[in-house]
Amino acid sequence: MIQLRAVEKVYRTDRIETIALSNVNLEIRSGEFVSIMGPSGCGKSTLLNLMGLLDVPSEGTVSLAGESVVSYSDRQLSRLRNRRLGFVFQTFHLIADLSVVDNVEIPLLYRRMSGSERRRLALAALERVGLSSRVHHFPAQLSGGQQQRVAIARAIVGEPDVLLADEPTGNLDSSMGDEVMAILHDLNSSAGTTIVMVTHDERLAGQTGRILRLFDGRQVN
Amino acid sequence: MIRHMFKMVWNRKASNALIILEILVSFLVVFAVAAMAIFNWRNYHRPLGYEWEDVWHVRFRVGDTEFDDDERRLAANRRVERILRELETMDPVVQASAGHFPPYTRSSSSRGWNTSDGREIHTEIILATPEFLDVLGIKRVAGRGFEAADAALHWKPVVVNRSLAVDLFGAEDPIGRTIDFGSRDDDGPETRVIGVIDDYRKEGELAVPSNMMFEPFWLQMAQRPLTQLAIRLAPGTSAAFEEELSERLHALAPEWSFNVRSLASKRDAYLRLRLAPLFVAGVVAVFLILMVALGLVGVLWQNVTQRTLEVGLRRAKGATRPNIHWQILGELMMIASIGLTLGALVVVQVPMMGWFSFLDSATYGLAFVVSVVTIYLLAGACGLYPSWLAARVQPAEALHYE
Ligand SMILES: Nc1ncnc2c1ncn2[C@@H]1O[C@H](COP(=O)(O)OP(=O)(O)OP(=O)(O)O)[C@@H](O)[C@H]1O
Ligand SMILES: [Mg+2]
Repeated sequence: MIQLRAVEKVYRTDRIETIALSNVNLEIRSGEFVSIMGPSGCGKSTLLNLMGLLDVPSEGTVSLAGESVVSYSDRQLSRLRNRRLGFVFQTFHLIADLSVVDNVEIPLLYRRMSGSERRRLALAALERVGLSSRVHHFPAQLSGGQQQRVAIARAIVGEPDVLLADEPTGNLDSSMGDEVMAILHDLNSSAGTTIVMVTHDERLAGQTGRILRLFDGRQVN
Repeated sequence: MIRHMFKMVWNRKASNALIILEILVSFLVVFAVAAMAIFNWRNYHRPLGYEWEDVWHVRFRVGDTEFDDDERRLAANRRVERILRELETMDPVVQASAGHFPPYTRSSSSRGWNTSDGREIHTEIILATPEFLDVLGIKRVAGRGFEAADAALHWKPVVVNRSLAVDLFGAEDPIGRTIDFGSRDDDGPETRVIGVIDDYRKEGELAVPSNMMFEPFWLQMAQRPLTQLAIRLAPGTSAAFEEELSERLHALAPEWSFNVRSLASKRDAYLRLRLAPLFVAGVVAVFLILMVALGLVGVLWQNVTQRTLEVGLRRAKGATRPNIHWQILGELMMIASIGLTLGALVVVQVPMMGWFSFLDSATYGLAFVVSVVTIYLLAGACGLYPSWLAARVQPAEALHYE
């Protein structure tokens, strides 16, 4: 599904050059549930951003479904992000000025689709994460766990092939974290969604199919 | 997408309030400037109704006692008549007349009354010898001008301009009609319209349109004398004639003092006087709008920076750069529309309050259209750079910020 070949990522600022990733080679197969672990600053988010086409590698290639995307235009990359990828962030990143259901509809705004169809899909996604009773609330009126479930609904509303989650439980207590994990497991097993999740939690990582470990920008296994 | 943008604008109304206010203020400034500019421009292109070329203006100062009694008044008028006839014997003089008031003079006299059926009529009054209309080449559109024989009439003949004719008689033919002065019609002979002129915009090209009524002045009667003359000269008479004219006037009335000027030079001075405040107002308005535009760019810029995270998120969810660009501009246009709607509400109140009643509805409407278009263009121009910045937001970097 996702393939990284000899990927390097270097951040250059005026004075310092940070090698965030170096010579990363990996493949995520369709239907897998993979977790990425490693100490803070080792490059986990950088790696996830590259897989999510939010950033481009300094060297090497990123391929999605067997096709390299290095030469893709902004328009093509946007389309892939929109159709095939779903993203969940540690800090939810909900738009405070929009209601729950309007937040969930966002990915569908960038597709040709009627407003009522959009609404129908958003409500269905909220139903899957168990938030049907909160559709007209605003993010500030929800608990952290509920906000993350909205973010998951938003990530899956467009039925992506791959869900990328950067510490989705990092800001949640363990019971809310477990709720979120349960939803991810359900998506993986029932819908066959490929999931790549960054986590610091060995216990949660242990529940996934495979663990990728990073140290100082390099794979360790 | 339109609905979504509208929701964004609506739900963010508190933070958009400042922009809405800026738009509202700039709309009002632009509207005021546009209304004044259009008003003056249209006036400027309205026919003057007279010809100022080759006409000279003479004003004479007379001791106050000259007007004390009928005898003195009659003597003064006879002297004016003699002066006029003498001047006409001079080579370059085509025709001479006396009148209150010639063009480009600030004095005026006016009269207002209610007709028997309760209509309110207001007009300026010009009191002049019969030749005055011809000296100034005032264009007649119906009826006739004054003649010497009119002095013997038992009613008072008057010449009115088109707008007064319409005010008095609507679409009906005004010639020969008696003017209805309502309850003020008590004393004196009845007044009948003998002629209609196109116009007589005494204050010149920038004058506000007004009603005009010419009444004849008979120099053989003991009315309070006219102290201003209008004299038509042969085309191309040089300015050097001024001295000759002054000398002749002095010879004819040694104890009066005279001031001689061509209408051309009076017109220049008048236009300069009238245009100066308009020019200053224009400069002030341009600065105001520039300040508003700068403020708008600033507020929008800040607005976009605050929304970096949101933009990053949208990009992560599949928005292309043009999507972001158009969303920011589209929201701005909606915000502008809200500001303009508020502005429109203010602007329709103004005529209802009876302010700026001299602005006709065509000028008002045109000014409205011009200022709406200007504000949309201004908002678009001010939003161009901030929206371009927003479209360039890198999703990974934007989402990195907390
Ligand atoms: N935009 C950037 N500019 C410069 N350096 C960056 C940037 N983003 C990340 N880095 C650097 O790259 C390295 C990897 O960062 P990254 O965010 O991928 O770490 P991480 O493994 O996700 O850490 P954490 O567990 O704390 O989230 C770090 O040293 C970080 O300082
Ligand atoms: Mg990270």
